[in-house]
Amino acid sequence: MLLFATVSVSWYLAVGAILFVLGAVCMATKRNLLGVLMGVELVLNGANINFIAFGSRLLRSEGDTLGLDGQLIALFVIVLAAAEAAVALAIALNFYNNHSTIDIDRANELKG
Amino acid sequence: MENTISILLGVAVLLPLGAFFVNLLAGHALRKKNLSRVAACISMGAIVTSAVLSFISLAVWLQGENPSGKSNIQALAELKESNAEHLKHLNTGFGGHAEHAEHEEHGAVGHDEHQGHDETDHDHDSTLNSTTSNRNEQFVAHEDSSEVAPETGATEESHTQPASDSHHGPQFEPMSGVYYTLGKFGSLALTIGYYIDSLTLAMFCMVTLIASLIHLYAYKYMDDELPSSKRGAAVDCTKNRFLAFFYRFGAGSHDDQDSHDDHDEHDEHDEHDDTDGPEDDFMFVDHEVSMEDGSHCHRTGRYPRFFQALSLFCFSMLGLVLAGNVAMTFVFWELVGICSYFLIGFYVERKSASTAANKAFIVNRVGDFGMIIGLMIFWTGFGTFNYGDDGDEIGLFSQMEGATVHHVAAHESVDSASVPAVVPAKLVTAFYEQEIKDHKTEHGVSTEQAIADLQHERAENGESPLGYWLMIIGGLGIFCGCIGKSAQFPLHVWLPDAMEGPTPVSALVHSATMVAAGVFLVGRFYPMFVPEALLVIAIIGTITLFIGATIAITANDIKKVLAYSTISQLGYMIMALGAGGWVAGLLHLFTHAFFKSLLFMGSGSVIHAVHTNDMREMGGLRKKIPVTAYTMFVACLAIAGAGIPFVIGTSGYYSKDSILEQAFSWGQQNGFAFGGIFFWVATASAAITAFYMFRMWFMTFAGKPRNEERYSHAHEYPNMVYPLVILAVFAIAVAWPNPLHKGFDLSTLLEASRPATISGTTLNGSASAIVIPDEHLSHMNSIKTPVTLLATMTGIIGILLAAFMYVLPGSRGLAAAEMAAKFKPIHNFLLNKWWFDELYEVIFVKPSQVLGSWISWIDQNILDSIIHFCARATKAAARFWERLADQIIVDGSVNLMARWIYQTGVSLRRVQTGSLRQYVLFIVIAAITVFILVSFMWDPVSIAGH
Amino acid sequence: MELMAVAWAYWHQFFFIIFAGSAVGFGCGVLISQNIVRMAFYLVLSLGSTAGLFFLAGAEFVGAMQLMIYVGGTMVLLIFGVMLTAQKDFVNMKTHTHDWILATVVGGSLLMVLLFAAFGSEDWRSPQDPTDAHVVDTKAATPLGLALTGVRVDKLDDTNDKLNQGKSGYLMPFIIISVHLLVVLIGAAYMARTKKLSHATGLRSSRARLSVFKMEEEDEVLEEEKYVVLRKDKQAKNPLDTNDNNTENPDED
Repeated sequence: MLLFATVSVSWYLAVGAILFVLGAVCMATKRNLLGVLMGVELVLNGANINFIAFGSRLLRSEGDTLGLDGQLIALFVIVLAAAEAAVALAIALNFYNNHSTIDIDRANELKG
Repeated sequence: MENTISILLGVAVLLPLGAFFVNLLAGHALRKKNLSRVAACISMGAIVTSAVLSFISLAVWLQGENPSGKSNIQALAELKESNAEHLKHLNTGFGGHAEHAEHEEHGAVGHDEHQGHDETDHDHDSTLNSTTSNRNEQFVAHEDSSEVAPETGATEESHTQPASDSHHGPQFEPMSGVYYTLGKFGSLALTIGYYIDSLTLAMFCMVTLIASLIHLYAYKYMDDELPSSKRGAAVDCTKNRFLAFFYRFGAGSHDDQDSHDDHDEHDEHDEHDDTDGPEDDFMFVDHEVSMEDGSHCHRTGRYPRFFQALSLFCFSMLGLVLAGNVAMTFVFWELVGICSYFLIGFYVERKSASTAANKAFIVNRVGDFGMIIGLMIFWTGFGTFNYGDDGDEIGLFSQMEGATVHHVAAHESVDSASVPAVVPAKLVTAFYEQEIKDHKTEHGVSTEQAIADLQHERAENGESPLGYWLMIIGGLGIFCGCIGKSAQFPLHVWLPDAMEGPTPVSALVHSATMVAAGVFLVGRFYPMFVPEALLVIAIIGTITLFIGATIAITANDIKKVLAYSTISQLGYMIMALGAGGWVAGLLHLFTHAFFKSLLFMGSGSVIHAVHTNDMREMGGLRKKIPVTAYTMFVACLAIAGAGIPFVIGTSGYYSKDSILEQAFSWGQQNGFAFGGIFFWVATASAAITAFYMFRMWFMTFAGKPRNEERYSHAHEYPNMVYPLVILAVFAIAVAWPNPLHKGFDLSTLLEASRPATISGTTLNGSASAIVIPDEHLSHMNSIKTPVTLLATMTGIIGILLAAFMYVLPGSRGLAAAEMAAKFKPIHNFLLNKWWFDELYEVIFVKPSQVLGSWISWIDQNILDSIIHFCARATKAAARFWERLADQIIVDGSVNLMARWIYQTGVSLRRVQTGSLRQYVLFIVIAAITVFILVSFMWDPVSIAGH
Repeated sequence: MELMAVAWAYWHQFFFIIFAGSAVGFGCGVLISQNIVRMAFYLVLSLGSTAGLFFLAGAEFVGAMQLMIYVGGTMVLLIFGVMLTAQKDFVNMKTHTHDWILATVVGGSLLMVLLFAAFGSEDWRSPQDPTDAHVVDTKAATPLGLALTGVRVDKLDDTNDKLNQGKSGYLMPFIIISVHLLVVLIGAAYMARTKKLSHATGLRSSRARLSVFKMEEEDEVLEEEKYVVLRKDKQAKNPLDTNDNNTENPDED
């Protein structure tokens, strides 16, 4: 019956939420630093889906939709995600070079 | 005149105090800078200035106005003349006309008062004038009757005689006033005041003069206390132009060469003796003190301190003489005592010296106890401490006088020449309020009448007047102080021990001044003594003079001989005063001051020359130290009362003879056969006096030297010898009548201050049959002739006996030892000073020590235990409380708080695991939380609506 | 034929389910997988599916950008990183079970909350008429571009007051993002450069070091030495040192 119900914003939001949670859990469980970064990408992706859903004219009527704003924001998010991924990767490489390990459980020098 | 004299004398008193303070503050610095002589100069300057001021005051007084209108010096001349006239009357009118003369006196009294009343142009109300005017107002009627009374005596002489012809001669009014009031407590005013009459002025002159000479003497005598570089080098006295005369006179010519050599050797020997190595230039080696390791005590010299103490003493003595009220006298009394303590204990390291100082002070205090009782009685009874009048307040003497005169005027049967001792009404009201009140309510009369009635009743019953015994006790109380201060029996034991002090101290304090203070007080306080008290005084004086004389004949220490001699002579003075010889006793005080200080200084010179006190080591010293020898000879003559009878004599001749005369007169008037006990004891002791004094002189200066080494080193110093010469002159001449200006001599000066209560009257005791005869009676030929002869004879006997025993060579020279052996028990008794010290030790000292040890035991074991227990308990409580409050509560709470915070921090720190994954989880959880919170709290519809 | 027509009528749902399912499924694969390389691959696929979702929603430009930038750029970067760091030990790293449970619980609760929010609003649940999908003209590229330059051509005749507030365009964020990207690139390049080493240790490259020091205890020593080395590096004025550096540079990669 899912097949026959109309796709609404909520569906997209749900997908976005699931991707977000998956990303968060991925960040929380992966020991590999790059795994954590992947989780970050998932999170951002979920957020993008939300924005697109709100800005889609197919899903919402003309008056309620964000229109181009939603897409623009999603665009910015993508760009920022890329920038952030670059920096994070640089940090990860530095970390790897200094400690010869990519296990973030080893990165607890700031432990209180 | 009064202001001038009071200020001059006040300054004279304060100058030595100033010197004391300067020496006190600067003495140490001076000593360190080797300028100790400056301290001596300061003290000497002060006392010499005081002496000058005293003489200036005397001159001012002499020029001053007398109540009779002339200057005092003229009045003195008149007094002497009138006394001579009266004596003539007495001698010619001996027997029948005696009464007539006495009646005359009575008339003269009234006239004198009249005259005195008319001339009131003085700086302040004179004592005599105010009371005179009072009396005149009250008893106008009686004055008439007093003029009537002589008429009933049926004489052909006119009764209205001018004042100048009366027996009493000019009156001399004493000046009294207040410098400063310390405080008024009810009716008691404590003041610093003065009481100046000719006695005061004479005492000032004498004390300051002798003190100046002592300072000069001590300047050289205390040289030991200086570093050896500062000591005067030994002087060859033959080169001294003044003294060389004496040496030529005294020293044998064949000794000259020897003496030169001896001087040189002595110089070196002297310095070698006193120095102890180059680095100990400052050290005083006290050979009488041995330290634990056997060597002698080495200490720094104390030259300035001596003069400091001496200055303080001079201040105290002068203050005592000047004092205008009994309280001030008492304060200075104590001050003199403490100065004596300091001076006797000058050689502090010697146990004997410090013990002697303690003994002196404690024995003095025993006497002062009685003095305080006397003070209290007199203050309660008379309401004032002042001797003289001060404005409205009537002083002690005026009250006594007033009572006597009142009594005489009120009772016709009483003869003014022979009055009974009376009790002033104020004393009766003070002590016997209850009886008076009862009488008043019973009979309804006024207070005065009630008192008069009561006294009348008692007189009829043959009892003494109400309050009379209080006067006796009061007088004896004051006299107790004198017993202590003037070394009378039984408190004489301190004076011989006081010889532990340096010789200048003995010369000044214990011969001329401090011990004389007691005699001076008796003289000053005389009007307050009733005849019974005076009897006790005379008895004690007699006992004392006998004890002193007898012990002196066995003493071997030259200073001890002089000490006992002092005791004996003080006994003479006290006895004279007790027998009524006011002028006699005080005259002896003055002459004794001169020749006794001369004797002491001479003995000091001897001791300085031979370095020993023991007379058995001396002998033949007159060849080596002739000035000392011959001045001391003069003094021995004076103390023995030598003189050519009825012509001229040394000062001691006059004073001792007048004492013996008064004693004889007393015996006569009181019914004893030919003299009475006082006279015979005194005369016998005069013989003993002459004996022991010349024994001393012969042992020291005559015969062969007993110790060749000491003899060879003996010599004297000019500084120590000049005072001796000056004093010798005084010792001879101080009691001579003045050829230049008639009347200006010592005895007349004293006569001018005679208290009015015994001025020409014989006092009858009211509780007994004792009569204190008028002193003028003692000068009558009937008394004078036998007494003078007897006295001279005893003197000669004494001198001859001494010469036999101590001068004649050969077998006679050993007579002393033989005599001692023959009279062994007596000799032993005398040698041990009548066992007084041992007696006191057993009666007073040992029980006190035992009591002290008991109390000390209580203190140490019981009281200390209590206190230690308290201390321990407090400590334990403190420790417990500290632990509880401080450690457990305060520290605990603070620590607990800190621990909590720390643990909170630690636990919170665990949040920072450093693990990225957990941070992520936290972010997620936070997001959830915020989301939920916001969804419940934030209402988007309402916000979107704005 | 009817089936195809029916299926075609529901094409939105169909494709949505496919794309959403693959996105979620590959996302789960990223989560569950232990192997870092596999994770990377799964992520690529997930991102691609997301791009499909974007296309479905009418944002074809964004979808294209997603594919180009995200998949083609960011993921490649990640894969490079994987390549550099995925040595023997680090390829497979297991997580402890308790961590899994904790993360699952927390994530699950977040999921609940979000789903509740997603399906909670009436507005978002209301369906659209599927036939409208054909009609809507969703040409977005030009307006997007113009919006980035500051002209909002899609709102020219917009009368809604509330939405008029955004008429100014996204020029400012565009510039900021450009600068931001520049900074990031420079920073990342700097941070990721190879560090120079001194004479003392004799070790030049991180790889060489890595091959020698594998044990954890030796890591500490290395760090200390590295610290010393770095400090000395900063202070070194020794010409010999610089010479060495110069000679070493060509050897370094």
